[in-house]
Amino acid sequence: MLRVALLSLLALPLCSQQRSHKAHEHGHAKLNIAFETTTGAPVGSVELESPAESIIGFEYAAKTPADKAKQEKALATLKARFGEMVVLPVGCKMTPAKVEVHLDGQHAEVHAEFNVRCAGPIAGKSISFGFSKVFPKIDEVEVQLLAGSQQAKLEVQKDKGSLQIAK
Amino acid sequence: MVLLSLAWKSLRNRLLTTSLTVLSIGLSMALLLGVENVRVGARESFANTISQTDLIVGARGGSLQLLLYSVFRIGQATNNVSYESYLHWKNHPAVSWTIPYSLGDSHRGFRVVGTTEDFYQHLRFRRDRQIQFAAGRSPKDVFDLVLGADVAQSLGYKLGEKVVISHGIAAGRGIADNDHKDKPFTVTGILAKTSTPVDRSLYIQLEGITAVHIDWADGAPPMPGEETPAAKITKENMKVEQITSFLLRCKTRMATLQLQREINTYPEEPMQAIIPGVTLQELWRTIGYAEDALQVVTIFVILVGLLGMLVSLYTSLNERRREMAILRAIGAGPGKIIALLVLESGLLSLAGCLLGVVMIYGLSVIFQPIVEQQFGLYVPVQPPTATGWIYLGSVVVAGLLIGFVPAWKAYRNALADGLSVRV
Amino acid sequence: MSAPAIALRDVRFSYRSGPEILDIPELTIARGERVFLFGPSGSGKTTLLGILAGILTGFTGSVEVLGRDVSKMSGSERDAFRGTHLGYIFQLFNLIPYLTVEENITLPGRLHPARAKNIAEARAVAKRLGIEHLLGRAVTQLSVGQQQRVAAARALLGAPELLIADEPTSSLDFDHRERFLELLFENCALSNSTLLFVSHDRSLATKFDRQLSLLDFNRAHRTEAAV
Repeated sequence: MLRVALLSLLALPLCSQQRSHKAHEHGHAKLNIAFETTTGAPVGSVELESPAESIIGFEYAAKTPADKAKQEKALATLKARFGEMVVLPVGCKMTPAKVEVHLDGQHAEVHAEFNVRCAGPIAGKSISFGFSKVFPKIDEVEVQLLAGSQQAKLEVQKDKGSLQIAK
Repeated sequence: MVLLSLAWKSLRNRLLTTSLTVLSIGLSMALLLGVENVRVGARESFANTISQTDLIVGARGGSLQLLLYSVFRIGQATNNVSYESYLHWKNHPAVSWTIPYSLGDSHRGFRVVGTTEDFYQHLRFRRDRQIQFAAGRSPKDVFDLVLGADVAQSLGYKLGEKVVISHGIAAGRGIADNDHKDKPFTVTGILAKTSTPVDRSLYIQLEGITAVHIDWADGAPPMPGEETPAAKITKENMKVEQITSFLLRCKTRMATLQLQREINTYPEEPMQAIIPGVTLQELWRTIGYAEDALQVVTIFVILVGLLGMLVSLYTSLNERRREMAILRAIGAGPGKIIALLVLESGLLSLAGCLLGVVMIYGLSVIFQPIVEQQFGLYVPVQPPTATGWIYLGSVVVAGLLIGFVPAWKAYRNALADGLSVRV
Repeated sequence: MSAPAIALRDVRFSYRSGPEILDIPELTIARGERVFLFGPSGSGKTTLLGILAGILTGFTGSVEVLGRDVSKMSGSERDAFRGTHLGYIFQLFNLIPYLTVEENITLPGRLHPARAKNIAEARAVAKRLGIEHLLGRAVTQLSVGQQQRVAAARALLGAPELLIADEPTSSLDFDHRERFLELLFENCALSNSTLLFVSHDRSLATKFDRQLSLLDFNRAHRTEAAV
């Protein structure tokens, strides 16, 4: 019975698959969070992949001084206020490792990587979000969390919801 | 307290209707909790089927499909990945281990899985359990074969038995023409029970899969007499060209996401890597609709149970008018009359809930082994889940609220009757 | 203690838009009195009892029971007053079917804190009424006579100041009727209760201190009764 039910699922067009095909959609970002462990003093990384339009405001190579300044300012804001966008458990500190703009034909992506160090265990604690406070154009974020043996995913819309780190 | 004991004694006095009402609420409660247990059980046993695997990699296609055929042996792949690409990722510096799978053959309805020693070494389920042998050893030679626990049990094969595998997995049974009967395998090992889909497959070496297909062209068997004799085949001269998918463990979790992106954008071959836990979550979201529908049906069943209670309480009121007049005469106010009936209704639904919990507990104990055997689904015998408690609480509260209907009627009766004797 | 057990003045009552049922210019019953009230059916006996017990409201005029003005009490006060100070015996089916004899007798005590101390007296009251041996029984096993004694025991428990009995003997045969009445008198005397005994069976009337015909003091029915 269960098998039949599952088999019939194969016929369904899955939303998730469709979503991964249109990788570049303005306002939609991807966030990956990884922690090696959740006990002791966990170490991890957080990376954000977002259409440049949602963060900088345009998706072409910045040539004019005004555009360059705008891009610099946006990336500086991203670095400085990332802790408001991804609210990790208390005691976890993020330091920027890499913040870049990748141009790809007609599109541009902002790629940001942060290293995380936590002072104490994070098991059972949760992660919440505040993207639109900093960049109002980001309204949907696909979050993946790997923490120890936990593998989870959450679609965050307008900063709603939180991810709980498994105990 | 007085009212509670009155309510209790009044219910006990109408033993037949009381027990029928409690039974109907109990049954519907058991159904609701049962559905919840199966839901949780299904999720848990699915999640427990595979542990410590960071990525599942296969040819590009549906992510759910990849998960289902690689882990649960449901459905099949439309494309394979080249063995070359597999080796590339296997030897990637960020990778700790890989388990390759070559699928597509079967034996009497059970799937045959081509794999390597890595499967026996690295596969983990229920967090950290490892594959164990009930008898024999892992396959060393091209025509060695290992049985999953359920396969061994239902087919009754012993070590040393000859097994012919069939091409394809259609309709569960291989077509006679598609039997690789010129190249039988020998059972060298039987796996211990894992209560996962591992139990329902047969395992051979990747080279074994190559060997049985060696003379096949375009999915058609070789002409009679043209087969390469089994005696000429050795593990060394069998070249593995392709596999179906592989499981992968990274050295660190941080590397997992990086590697996933690398695999998904691998320029040499269109591949995809999925995170099993994440894809399972997507699966639950998809199944969620069916679950919700089932939930709604169960909730209606409960409503019918509660409605039955309402009817039985309401119809009892006419014969209880005397009782209400007596209570009024000895100074029970309308509030107490209402409280009495609300308590009766609350007690009925509480008793129904308790019965439901007891029933589902008993049924789980009895049927757990059968369900596990038949569906590979391990339904835990456990106290109600958080959701279960919410259901129980809501039904008791609903029962109390429904009690206000007969209570109101009784109150109206009491006001109309006063102390007058209506028999 | 000086106030009479019952004092009615200019009391009129009619059910919603119906004809007037009661019109009583004056009725006084002294404390400790044993009063026999009679009248044909339909003469307003049950209505009068309902008003005295504080169950029927909506009358005009003044109704004082045991010195308290019934019309000035709230619903719950009337319930508590009835439960604490009044005993009530019905014609038939006085008992809660799913309780034992003892539970029936002690129910008012358990329902009203003010009467809780009387629970201990249940056995003594039952003994006086000759039903002590029945205490543990289910009420459905009792004869009608026994049932009425249990009802009397319940009404008498805690020595209520006013005992209202609404045709309590009409379902009993002659011998039981006499015996029941004797017991009722004895116990009213012991607890100094006022007894208002309603019946249409005039043969009992002579045993009472006073006989009242409802038709005499209820003007609402005077014309019809003359027919």
